[in-house]
Amino acid sequence: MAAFDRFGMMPEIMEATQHLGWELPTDIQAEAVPLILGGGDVLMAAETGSGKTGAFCMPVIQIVAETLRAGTRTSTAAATAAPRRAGRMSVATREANFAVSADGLLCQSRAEFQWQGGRGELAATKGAVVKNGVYLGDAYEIPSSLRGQPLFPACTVKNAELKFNFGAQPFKHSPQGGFKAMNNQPDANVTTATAAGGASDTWKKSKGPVALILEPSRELAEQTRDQIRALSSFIKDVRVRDCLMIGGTNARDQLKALERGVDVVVGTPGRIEDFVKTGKLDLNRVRFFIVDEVDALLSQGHEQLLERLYNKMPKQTAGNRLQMVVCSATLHSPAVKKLADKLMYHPVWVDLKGLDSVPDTVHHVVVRVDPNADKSWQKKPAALRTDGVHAGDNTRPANMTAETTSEAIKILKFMYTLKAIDAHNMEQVIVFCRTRLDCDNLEKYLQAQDSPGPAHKYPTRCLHGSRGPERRQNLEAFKNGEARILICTDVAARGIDITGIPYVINVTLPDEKENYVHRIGRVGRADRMGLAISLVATTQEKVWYHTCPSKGKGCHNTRLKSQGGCTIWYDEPQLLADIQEHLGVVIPTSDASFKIERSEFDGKVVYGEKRNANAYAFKGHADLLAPSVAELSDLEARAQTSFLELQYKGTARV
Amino acid sequence: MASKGKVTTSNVETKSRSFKDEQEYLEQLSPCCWRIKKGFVPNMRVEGRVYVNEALNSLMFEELQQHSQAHGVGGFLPALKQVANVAALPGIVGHSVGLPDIHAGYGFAIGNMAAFDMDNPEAVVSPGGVGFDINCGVRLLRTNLDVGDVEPVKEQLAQSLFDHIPVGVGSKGVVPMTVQDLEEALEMGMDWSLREGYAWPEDKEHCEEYGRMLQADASKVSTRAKKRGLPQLGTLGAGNHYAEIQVVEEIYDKHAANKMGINRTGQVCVMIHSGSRGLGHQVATDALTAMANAMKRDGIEVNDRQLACARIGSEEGQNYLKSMAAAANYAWVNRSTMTFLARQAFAKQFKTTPEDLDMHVIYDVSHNIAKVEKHWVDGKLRNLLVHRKGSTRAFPPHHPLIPVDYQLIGQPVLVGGTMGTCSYILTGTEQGFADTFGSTCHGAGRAQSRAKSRRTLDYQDVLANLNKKGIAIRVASPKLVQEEAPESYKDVSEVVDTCHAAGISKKAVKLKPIAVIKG
Repeated sequence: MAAFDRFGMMPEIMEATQHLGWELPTDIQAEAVPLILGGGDVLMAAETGSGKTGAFCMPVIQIVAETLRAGTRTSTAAATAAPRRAGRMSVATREANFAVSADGLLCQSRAEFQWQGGRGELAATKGAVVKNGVYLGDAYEIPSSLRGQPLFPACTVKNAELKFNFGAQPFKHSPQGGFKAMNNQPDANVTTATAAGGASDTWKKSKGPVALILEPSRELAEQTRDQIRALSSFIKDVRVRDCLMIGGTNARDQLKALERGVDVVVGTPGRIEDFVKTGKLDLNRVRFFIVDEVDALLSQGHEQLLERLYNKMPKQTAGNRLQMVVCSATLHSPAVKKLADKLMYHPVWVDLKGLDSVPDTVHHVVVRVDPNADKSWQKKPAALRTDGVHAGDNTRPANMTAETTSEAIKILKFMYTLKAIDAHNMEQVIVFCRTRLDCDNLEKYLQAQDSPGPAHKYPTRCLHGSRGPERRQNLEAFKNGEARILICTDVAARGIDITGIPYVINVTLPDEKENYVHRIGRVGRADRMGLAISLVATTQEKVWYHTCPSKGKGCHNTRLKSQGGCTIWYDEPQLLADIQEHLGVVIPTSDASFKIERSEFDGKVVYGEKRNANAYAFKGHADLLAPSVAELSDLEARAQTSFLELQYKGTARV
Repeated sequence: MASKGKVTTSNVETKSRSFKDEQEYLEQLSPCCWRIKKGFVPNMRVEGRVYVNEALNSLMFEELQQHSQAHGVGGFLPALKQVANVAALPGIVGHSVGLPDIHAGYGFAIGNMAAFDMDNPEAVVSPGGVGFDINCGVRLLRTNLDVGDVEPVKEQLAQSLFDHIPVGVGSKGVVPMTVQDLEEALEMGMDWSLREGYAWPEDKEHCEEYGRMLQADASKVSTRAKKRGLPQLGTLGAGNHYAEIQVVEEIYDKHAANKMGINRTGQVCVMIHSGSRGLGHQVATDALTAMANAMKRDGIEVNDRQLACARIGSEEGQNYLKSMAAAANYAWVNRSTMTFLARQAFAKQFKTTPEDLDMHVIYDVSHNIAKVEKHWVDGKLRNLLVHRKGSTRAFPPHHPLIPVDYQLIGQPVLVGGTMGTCSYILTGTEQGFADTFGSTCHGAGRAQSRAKSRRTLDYQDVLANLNKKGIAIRVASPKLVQEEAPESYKDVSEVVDTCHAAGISKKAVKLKPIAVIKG
């Protein structure tokens, strides 16, 4: 009996978990797996590395396997099942505020400013529009593409109530001209959303996937696919065919797989959208839509894509509702809430993170970057190149304009980064930059510090979108310790499982406050202390903000966005204030010497080492009560002894 | 990631024996009791005793037969082997006892009790012997209503209960809780509920340990566990948890029933079956991981790596006992909160007060817990750590640890049936105290795995069946009900009859459900 049995998991998957060495379910798995197996929509948040991927992979594989089994066993069962039900409004296919009575004939929505609608369960293949017994002529042409297709009766109301009669009662104005109520129609003229015909015919024919898993990055998609494969490896009677659809790989193999038929597709937005647009990826069989790291996908601007994909999926297949599982680093973001309201059906929240808070294994400090106080930028190192926003401006120290300060901030930040690495003799560090260009420039600057020869002082790797196939090697190099410094953007870093990193440097604060916690959460994992240093400018800095089609490639338009250009003024003091408000703390400040005041923390700390004592805040009364508890248990023991002596001496059998 | 800690096991999976050879190690002592001889598995320190009657033993033997046919490959250990593996743990005394509702569990079978000698420095505590749902238990409230009062408004009442009590796996509690509140609740158990106004003072009297394990130490509960527990306090949870409106169907022991405030058939009661939710689960998981390392250090060898354990006196052992006590307190607060909500629902429906409806707690039992108790073993009075997993304490009359009100009849034992089948109230007996360390069954016990129920039953049929029996039902995840269908379980009446026949507890009252609320 494995611990996973409690969830009703298939023995084959349990075998796989044992094989993977998963002895016990993690918290997120224990909470989410039964919910997903139970058929619900789930929104979940948990820390990276908490088994979140397994939490949705296991039930997805199980339901896919169950679906495949059902498909091979009783392919015609659906068609011959139960006699047709009388016409009624569908409870499953309706908007949130659209109420349907128990008999399915009365609909109501009391939302005052919102149209709400739903549709019937039975669809007609023929029909007419008649009002109060008067034939009003053809209301509209049915487009040729829809001719012969079943049409569902539907309605939308706003603060109104509507009663339907599908023929269960006589009509007030009985229909003329041979038209009959839906309930009295022969089966040939009527179809349902759930039984055979219509939807499920296409369902059977479709070679498309049963589950679609969307990931924000290639690495995550690969990790997830690997997990799907590992977890389904013991299922023998049916084959769960998976397919990885990510950019930077050969599309031909993926197309071949699609032609053969797939069950689970894991992919990144670009490739998936491409295949869906060109009709190569058919979403007609999808029962599971899983969106991993939704906050990352949303911040990459994929909101519309999610909706487009969702709209292409059938909301009901063979009696089962489309099930949606959304994972997010935090559920407390308006964008995620909005999406959930729009696409998900009564989702259950599994929030194991709660509100954003900095783990107590992380020390974070702010280092102010003030070009007016620290003039060292005036002697710019030769190897240091900035992003060139001010290439056309006069930024000589004598000319102290906003542009000059901005350029000075850029120079200082790179210099400070190097200083910080040296000051703490950082064994390994992740450095976050705002743009890919910043990443590249910083990498070059750090590499230039290396004295020629084989012994690298600053072995640096870079991780961002335009590095292509190099990305994985770079990640590996950092993971196995070959590289000391990893420079990356927020997007590239998302979801990548790197643990036990002692240091993080934020060259620029993230523009989304949630990302701050994600970034600094990379240190101090697994009870290892970590230090996060944020370089925060005291004034505004002008930075690239490419909205041009080239996404910055060869773009030198340094005009502001408001003037049709590709730059903005980046207000770090404000961002810092926002972050502090979000977290409800004031982040301690350090100076450019990078000495961390010892008094700020609980004594001497070696970053990257295991924490020794638990600096636990709540002081219980366990110690205080201990003497009384001991006394009570002694009394209890004496009472028991006297009872046992009296009652049982010599008679007990055990 | 799930624990990857490898446990030192002596890895002594016996060379597969034939079913016939296996049977050599089993001997029927009485119509309801079997003996597992030493040698059934290696290193057994004591013998096993399993209480099953004719109707139930086929299930148990079938499982063993399948296991020996599969030559121990691929499948999971049958309950009988698990009972025997427990008998091989260091410091165990008496017997490893299997109760009639026994079925395979993680490490320990569910329906297994085992006692360890506190004075033996080698003796261990094992989280597997308590289970993941720490202090999962059943509470019964009585009312002065009759079935005739409730039947006409049954549907409304079921809906009202469903609306009041948050159900389901991911559900959130309605009681406002802060982190500080949770810490206090972990420390204080039902005293917290009482202080906050969710419980009546009398409730505590009719609760094992008076609803508070004093050795609880909230600081030994991990942050992760608290994070899971905070939003779930006062929620029912999925799985086999439920709240039921029940009606007294038969009274076997009039005197005992009267003492409990049950004086006629047709009287309406409310049963709440729930536990410590995600918090208990996490406490168990954390302890299992920590103990895997302690075993290596202390050189503890066990037959099955799921039997992770630590010496009672070790840091890991003590930490577990303190955090387990905190999780137990959480479970009592949880059941008290739902008691409060159920009282509200009834009071609203009948436009009166819970006091006027006489909605007192009859008793509250714990199924999954380890406790320090004194027992006679081998002619000596010993201080024992008694593990009960899927097993209820059943102390005899006059035992000092049972409430004053029940001193003359013995401790009430609440045995919850499965969804839609009947439930029982038993009382503890002297024989049970002597034979099974005062332990008896806890429910029906699974007859088939959840996965199998998923495969073979249709949830719609299950719901239709309940409907046919006239039981109002409200479920949060209907697609999970087949796992809890009566077909998936043993017959609770057979289980109870076995306990009664074996004399380890005595039947007092039979209840049948008229409405079920499930997660």
